[in-house]
Amino acid sequence: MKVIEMKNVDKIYGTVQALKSLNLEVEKGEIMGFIGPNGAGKTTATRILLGLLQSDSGESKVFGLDAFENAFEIHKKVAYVPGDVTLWPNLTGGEFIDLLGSLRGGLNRDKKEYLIKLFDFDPTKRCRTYSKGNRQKVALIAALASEAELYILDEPTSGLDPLMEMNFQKCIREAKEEGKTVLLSSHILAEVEKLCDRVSIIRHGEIVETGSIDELRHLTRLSLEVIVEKDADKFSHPRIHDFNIVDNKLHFQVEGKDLNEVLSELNKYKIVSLISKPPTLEELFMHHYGDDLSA
Amino acid sequence: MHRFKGTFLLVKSNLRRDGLRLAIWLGGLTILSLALMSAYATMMDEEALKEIIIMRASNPAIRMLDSPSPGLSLGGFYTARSSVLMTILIIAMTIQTMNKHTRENEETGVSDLVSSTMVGRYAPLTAAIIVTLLANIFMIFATTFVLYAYDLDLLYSFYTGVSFSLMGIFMIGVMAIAVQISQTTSGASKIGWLTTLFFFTISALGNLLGDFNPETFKVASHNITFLSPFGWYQQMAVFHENNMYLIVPFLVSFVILSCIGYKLINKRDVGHGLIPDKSGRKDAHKNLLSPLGLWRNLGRKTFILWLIIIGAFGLLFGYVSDEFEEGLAEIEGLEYIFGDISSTDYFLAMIISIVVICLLFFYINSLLRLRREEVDGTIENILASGVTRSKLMAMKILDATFDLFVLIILLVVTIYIGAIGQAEVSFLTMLEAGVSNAFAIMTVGALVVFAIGLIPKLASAFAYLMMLIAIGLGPVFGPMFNIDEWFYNLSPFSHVRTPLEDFVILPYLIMSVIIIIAVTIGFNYYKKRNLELN
Repeated sequence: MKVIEMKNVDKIYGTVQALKSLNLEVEKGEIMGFIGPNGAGKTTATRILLGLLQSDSGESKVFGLDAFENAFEIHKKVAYVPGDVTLWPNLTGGEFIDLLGSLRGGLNRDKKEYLIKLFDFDPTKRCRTYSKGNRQKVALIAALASEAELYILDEPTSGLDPLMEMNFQKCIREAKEEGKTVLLSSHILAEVEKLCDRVSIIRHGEIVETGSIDELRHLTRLSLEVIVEKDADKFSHPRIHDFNIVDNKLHFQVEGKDLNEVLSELNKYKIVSLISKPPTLEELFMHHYGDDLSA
Repeated sequence: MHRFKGTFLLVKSNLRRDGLRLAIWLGGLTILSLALMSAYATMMDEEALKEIIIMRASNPAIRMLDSPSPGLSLGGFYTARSSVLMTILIIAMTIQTMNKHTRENEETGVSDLVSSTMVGRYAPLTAAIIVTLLANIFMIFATTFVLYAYDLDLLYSFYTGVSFSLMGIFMIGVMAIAVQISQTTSGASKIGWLTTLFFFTISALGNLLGDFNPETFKVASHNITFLSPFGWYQQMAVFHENNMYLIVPFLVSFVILSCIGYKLINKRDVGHGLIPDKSGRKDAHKNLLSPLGLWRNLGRKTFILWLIIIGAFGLLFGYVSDEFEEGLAEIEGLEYIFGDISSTDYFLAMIISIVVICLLFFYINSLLRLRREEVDGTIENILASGVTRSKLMAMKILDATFDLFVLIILLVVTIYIGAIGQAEVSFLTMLEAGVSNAFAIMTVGALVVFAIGLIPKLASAFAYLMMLIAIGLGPVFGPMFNIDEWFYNLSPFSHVRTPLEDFVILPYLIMSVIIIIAVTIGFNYYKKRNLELN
């Protein structure tokens, strides 16, 4: 069953096209990573899913219901953590967590206490005194302590320290075990790589790649480190990239589809050892955004 | 001296950042003092002056709110009559300005950045003091100019200006300490206002316990008044005794208070106060846990402040209600035909209309909070939970309207209580005046709801324009501008029944229709539009 379904969604702000025929699907019980740099359209997409913004065209469904028309019904089953958490300065963190929980239709008290301890959070302080990380904890605890079925998290850990980030990952895994669905928008790639079942990469308002990290790896280059018996300096092949030789070791990258062809050419030089490394998510990401950087 | 390094740069940047707000304050205060002076100067010849001084100074209750009359002169009367208002407003400007350039910078984190640069530890406080001092010095010359323009003695006019601004300068010293003690802007303001209230009460008691001499037209206050800076400036008795040596306690206390402020800077950390922020509740009270509860909670402080102001107004007006009857003959020889309603009732009903129009500000600001929370982004949290937009908006309207009626009823009740033993007043006449004006207020409010739904980006500008039209073209100010009847009719307040007219239902029906249509459109668009989030 599809929990989130966006089809050909467009969103235009004045002259800026924020989303361009965006397609996104998230299955029940799945943790979906939603990655892309600042300004790629992640927040716009999540706000459309929450019915805070209306798309200009296309279809956005959550739990099979229209995201804008049925926002109220949907929100009963959704917990959201915004990227930039704004709180009322005079309320305490504890009051805010209770308020959001209650407006969402209920809060698991035990879970709230557990999360407050886990995140080492002081709920008695006024919100104006919290740092960015602590403001995020308020929203995270409120979301995770709710009985929601879908968590929409928009860069939830950008202000957390590494220890708290580990606790966050623990919570998300627990949520998955309970059968909950998570849409995790982030640009902390290591986090997405550790947590997510599938990843969608968004660029200029379009999804450029979707799939499990393994699937995505096949679509990109492998890094190879090879030692050959003879004439290492004579080796070359039109399908290899970033080629160099250090201490008689050949280093290069090759697309998955060209691997066979390159290996048979290498065989002529008698392979002594070969180490192949799968690309990290960061390399995948750079693969899609490389032109932006060089531009 | 390195501790003061960068002061000059900070003064320049403070003035640039805050120039507009200060200009509005200073311009407004100057215009106000001009308006007061022109009212006194044109309304009164010497006989009338004598009469009004006797009337005000012989009443102990009024003596509490006036500065003691120094003798018979227009200048003397001006200081007696308007110095309390002017000094309180100057204090308000001082508290706000000191806060803005010290506490507020620490709260928003600006001072972290500033402190990390080549700026001395004492520079931010010094810059705030200098800027506030400049504003107060400007007011000395503005007051001098206003009084001198009405042919009063130049030197005495200058003394008057000095006496008013010295109160501001005293408060600079108080605030230099307050912003070190409290960790929040509102906390520092509270310390400033409590100090003001404390000293004002002492001087008011001194004046209450004093004596009025009808021969010399002078009020001799009780000596306890010298315990209060309000007493110091009031006892200068400008235009008569001119006790300018009383500048000394002002300057001494300013220096001592500021020095304490500087000392305290060394005892605390940037961004923190000497008194740490109190811990609050770990869990929310159950009353907070609904959209209505949230709106009540967010507006509570403002509402309490209005309750105090309106309650005090009501008691005061009730208490002086018998003076209205006497004062009636004074006003440009107008004669009213009162029918079956007493002149006091008529005047109190008029007073209620004026105060209720002030409540328009409260109501509109309360409604605009819906839009402000949208801009600030706090509303995103709420609307992403199980709350519909219609409910959020409906609860805001309910919240604001409830407060409005509580304030109107409080005003009527406090006037009634204050008037016990003074004048005979009819509770019903006053209540009717309050409620029929509330109709006009809600009409403007409905248009604001319409704007929040339909033209969110322009909503607050639109709201203030509506407010300006409703008040400016309405019955209180409209007649002053000699405008066409057509314009006059634009203000809903022009269609509210005054106590002398017969009741006509049509205007109320029209207002109800406008309210229903505007609110319905507002709701429909608010439900359907994109949130204007950052």
